[in-house]
Amino acid sequence: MAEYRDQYAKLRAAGAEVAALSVDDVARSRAVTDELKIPFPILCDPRREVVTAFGVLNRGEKGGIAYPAVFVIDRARVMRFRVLETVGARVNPGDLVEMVRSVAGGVEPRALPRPARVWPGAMFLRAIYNSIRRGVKQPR
Amino acid sequence: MAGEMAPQVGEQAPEFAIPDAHGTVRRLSELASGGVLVLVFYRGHW
Repeated sequence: MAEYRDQYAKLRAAGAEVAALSVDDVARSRAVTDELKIPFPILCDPRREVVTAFGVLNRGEKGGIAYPAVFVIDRARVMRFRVLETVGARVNPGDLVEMVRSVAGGVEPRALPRPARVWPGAMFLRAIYNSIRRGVKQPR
Repeated sequence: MAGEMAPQVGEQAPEFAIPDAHGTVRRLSELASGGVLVLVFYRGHW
């Protein structure tokens, strides 16, 4: 969140609005906004409607929280880029600036090299998930 | 499983209307109306 705050001016200049979203209620989100001086909207999804609709509900933690994820959406609400940050790699918000500029300019964005590799597909994610839940099995 | 239901690149994201930290209801279509929205999902308050 602080990283997005720090890159906010650049993202705005490139043509983006930024919004954050978690399952926290309004009071907690207000506290985060105030403590971190977040300049963009923090959205509150305590009923888990949006995290469910976007496929990022992590049921295994604290009654269901959001997996860290970033989505870039254009004015027609079309998804232009997405990355789920579950496998130890995180998007550098500064790297999003160029992508935002492309989308704002109507150019097909090139995938960010690093996040493109950290979106490994459902099979791989399931394997990681299962190994966390049940432990790693040695192949026989 | 994470990501299975997620809208794919090129698909339309589902509209929503939920409150921001000030209690004001915000819609996805409104937030994206400027041209590009970077929507960051995070784990919540520590």
